[in-house]
Amino acid sequence: MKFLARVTRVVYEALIFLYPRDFRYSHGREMRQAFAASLSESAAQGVWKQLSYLGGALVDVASSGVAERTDRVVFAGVDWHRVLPVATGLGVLAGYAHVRSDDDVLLLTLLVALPFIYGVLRPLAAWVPALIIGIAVFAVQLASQKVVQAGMPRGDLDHLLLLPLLVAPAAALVGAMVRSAATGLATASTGR
Amino acid sequence: MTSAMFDVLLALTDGERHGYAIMQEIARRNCGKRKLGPGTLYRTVQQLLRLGLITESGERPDPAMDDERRRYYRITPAGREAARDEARRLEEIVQTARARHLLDVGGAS
Repeated sequence: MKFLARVTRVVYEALIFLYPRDFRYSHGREMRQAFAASLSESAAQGVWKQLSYLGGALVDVASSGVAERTDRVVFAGVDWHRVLPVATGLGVLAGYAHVRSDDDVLLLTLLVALPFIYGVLRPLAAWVPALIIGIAVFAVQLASQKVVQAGMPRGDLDHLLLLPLLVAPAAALVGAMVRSAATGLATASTGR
Repeated sequence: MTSAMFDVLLALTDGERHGYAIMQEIARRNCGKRKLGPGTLYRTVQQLLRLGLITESGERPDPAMDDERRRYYRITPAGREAARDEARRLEEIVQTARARHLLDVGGAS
């Protein structure tokens, strides 16, 4: 049992790395202390209590670590009051421009350029507005009844219409990667 | 507000506590039926700090008896107000449940 407890402590230590660095810096040491203290308490209540505590604590630290990190990455810096209307507006405009001109190159350029720029400016949460743009473009295309006009049978969706949902977030991701690489280069050159 | 947030705020209404003491207070209040793991507890603490519902306390109630690196937390006026609102909301839910005979008058189910 002591061996299992020791192994669990090592696993627990490793799982704490699921949390963002500043969180670990603020709370990591106390989390370890609380885990160790609770483990001792449960050991005094028998093997089953200890086993049940060990399992629960590992699930707890893993799930909340992932949740904390996901929250930071997904929603960090998203100003919904601004992002939602602006991204929706841009998406609707891009979709409308395509419906009017039927120019696929124009649509693709807008779908790549807008999310890419956002990705460079706000790398952490860039995919959120990008996805909103993609959804807005998709909705406009669908609403324009292009599918019906093209003589497709009812209910038969042109799968290319779904492309904005993939292209826009992918462009945002590339923008974020470019920003990340540029920041890395700048840091490296300053370090020299 | 999540139930973990409410639990932490309740634990801090009668004084400053450090994280482990908050865990113990929650377990004690719920007769050991509900326990917060360290992961959930400190994530909740972080969220409450971010929302300004609790704050880190500079003082320690008994420095001689304690690890000086331990952080103590204190509920803010906004946190007390949020806890009060949540308690009222829960009270209304309990009243509704009671009116629909889901609970006995004495509180037993």
